[in-house]
Amino acid sequence: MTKEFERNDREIWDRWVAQCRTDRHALGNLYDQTYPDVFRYCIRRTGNRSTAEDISSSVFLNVAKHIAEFPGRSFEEFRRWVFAISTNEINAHIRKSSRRKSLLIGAAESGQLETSREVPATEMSLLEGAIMRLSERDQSVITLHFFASLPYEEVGKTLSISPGAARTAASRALRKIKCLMEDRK
Amino acid sequence: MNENAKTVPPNDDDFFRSHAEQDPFDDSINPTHQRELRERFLDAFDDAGSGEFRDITGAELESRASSRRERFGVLVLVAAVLFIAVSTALRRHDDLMLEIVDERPRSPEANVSELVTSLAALGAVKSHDSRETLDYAISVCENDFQSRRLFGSEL
Repeated sequence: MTKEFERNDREIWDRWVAQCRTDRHALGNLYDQTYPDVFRYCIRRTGNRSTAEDISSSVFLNVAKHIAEFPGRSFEEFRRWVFAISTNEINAHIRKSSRRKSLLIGAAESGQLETSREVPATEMSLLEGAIMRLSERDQSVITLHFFASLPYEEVGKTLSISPGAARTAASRALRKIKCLMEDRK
Repeated sequence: MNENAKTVPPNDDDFFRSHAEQDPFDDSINPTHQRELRERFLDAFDDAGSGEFRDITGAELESRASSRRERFGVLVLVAAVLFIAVSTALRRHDDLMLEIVDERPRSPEANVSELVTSLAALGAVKSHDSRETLDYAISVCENDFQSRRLFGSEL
């Protein structure tokens, strides 16, 4: 029953993708479907709500401008395309403010990120700090897979690497995170 | 008890997930931002001119394809003209080179051969290969070379 529902859902989303270049309503539906994931991806990578909102805005405005050039046909392809734009925007933002990165790491490790809830931030703070110490690509792999719930195949396609390379990058990144966290304890 | 049995490394993926589960990160959506961005997003879609794709009819698509074909035809014509022009120029260049080659000093044998042919044409000799003709031709030729050496090639 659930699978049947998912399949129908998927067909509807694919139809929206087929119409999104010319149909405002279909594009609006795709926005509703992808905005939460894109926003979460942005906030995970930047650690700041207003920055994540700014980047999400920029991502979707780019999507609107270039939707006529989008070559895909399925919802997966659309989602992957939007995540690829998001990754570029986030990386460009981080590169522009490299000092910000070191501040973010410090803030994450001391549990002072403005997005942290009132939960004792011990290991989670260390984890957030460790993620931010990773390379851009590894951060993207970890965040897309664990927080945007993309399978490694999709992560690979989003970042233009093979699924195997995404899996390997994730495995190395996880080991690195573990070491960084143990060092900081 | 085997010492190594105690130190089985934990799966990295599980290690990460166990931490991610106690995630205190506030990544909740701000509905106001989501709603406002939706409006801007759709306005940007309208402004980007994507709407122009809406009204493309079959006739317009056919007309675009036809104009593409016309452009391709013109391109082929220009390429053909260029090819002809270049090959003609190259042929002229080759002819010129041949003329230049012809004007180069020829060997005595070539001069003799030409002289014999000319004499045969005038009826002065009956056959190119008769011994007398050749002797006569060679003597004329030698005189000719002598003259050239003395007075230059104008003679």
